[in-house]
Amino acid sequence: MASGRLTPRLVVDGALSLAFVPIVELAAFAAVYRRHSHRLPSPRAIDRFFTTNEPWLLTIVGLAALISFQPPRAVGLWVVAPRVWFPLAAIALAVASSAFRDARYFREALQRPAAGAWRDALLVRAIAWPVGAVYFLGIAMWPLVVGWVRS
Amino acid sequence: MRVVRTSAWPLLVVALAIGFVVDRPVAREPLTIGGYRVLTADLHTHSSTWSDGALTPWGIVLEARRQGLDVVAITGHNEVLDAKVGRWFSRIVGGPTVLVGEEILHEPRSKPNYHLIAAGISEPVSPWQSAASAIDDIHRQGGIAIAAHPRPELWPAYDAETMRRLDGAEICHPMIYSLPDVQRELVEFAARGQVAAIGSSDFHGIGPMGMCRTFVFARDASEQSVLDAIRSQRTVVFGLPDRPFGDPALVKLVATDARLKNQAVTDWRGGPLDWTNRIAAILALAVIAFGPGPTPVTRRRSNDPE
Repeated sequence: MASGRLTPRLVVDGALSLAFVPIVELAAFAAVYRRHSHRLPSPRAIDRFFTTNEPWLLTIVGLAALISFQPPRAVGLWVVAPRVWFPLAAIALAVASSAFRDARYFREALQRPAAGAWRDALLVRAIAWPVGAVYFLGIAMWPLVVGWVRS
Repeated sequence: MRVVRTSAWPLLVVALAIGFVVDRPVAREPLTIGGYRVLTADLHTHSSTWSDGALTPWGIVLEARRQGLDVVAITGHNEVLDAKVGRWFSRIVGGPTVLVGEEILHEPRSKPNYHLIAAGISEPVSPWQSAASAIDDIHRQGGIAIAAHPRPELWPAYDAETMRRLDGAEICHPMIYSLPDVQRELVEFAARGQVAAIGSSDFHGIGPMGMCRTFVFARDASEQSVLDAIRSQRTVVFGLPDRPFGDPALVKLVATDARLKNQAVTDWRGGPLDWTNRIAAILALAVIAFGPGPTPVTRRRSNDPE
């Protein structure tokens, strides 16, 4: 999406830039997993947990395709109404679908009851998303938050 | 069916190999017009290091070189650390001139808000002050202050006194291509003061860096010359509809010289190799992720230990 090409340089750089995503997800998963089994998840459990991210991969590949086949000046049209509803809908679908897959994973692989599986799926998000947001936006956001509170 | 997914891997390797081949900096002779060295600059970019961008600071330097930029300002939200890393890296690899910068975000509950680019500074400027006071801080550090995407909701922060202090204002920003009134609004804002015309991509990772760029008419490619040129308003920017804005004498000069306009137009997507790279990459990724056949994980025996 940055330059409309797939190059080794951009792959490595993008992987480094977004490495925090799997790291915080893994930490959140380990925390939730330990609540029930009092041990850390096995590599296989981690592998299977990460397959629940498939909807996100689909969304990202789709959006990358959309953006890289557009003239650069037209890219911005996808972040304003009315076209913005398309990527927003795709993201909403990914959020819902990956949550559903997470819950199914906790239910089937970890033998959690349905309600407990959904609680675990939500707990993973409740831990991972704020931590990720603080890392990604933190320095930018904290003066705004403090300014907001002060004023 | 597994063969479909397996065959996508060579396709991905081909895409990456082509990507490696086409991933070369744009080769350009140094451009001189009217006795000035004309430098191509993007003065508003964000890295992934705490500033919600998609590339690392060193990735920004390499991408700037790839996009044919001579100067790039890395402008973290309320911080300068990533810009310092970018500058250090650029000096090592002989990359573009990196200006240490910051996008000062001032958004208290009680208005007025402002977004201000500080470039050529060494320490972060506090966002908890008025725009005029922040500009004074920037000047004390030898930097320049540029109003970032000054749409009407941000105008109240820029009274006459603040406008007098301001060095530049963004006239070209990617928003002009997606929202109908933005070009007019940015031009109207700039007309309120005597400021340099600035074009910036506000690069976060979507859309090319340098999509909106500033042509700086400098004495040489040094950081000091770039800052001096912007302070003296020796800049030209192409906005809509591919119209030059900036110093009237320089605008007249570039009107007779197609070289700048050709460099300003970034509405292209490369040649056949770029397209092959793009199509192969998307196809391969889509098939690897979602093609028929079992995934490496589900392929395993179901009685494997969890």
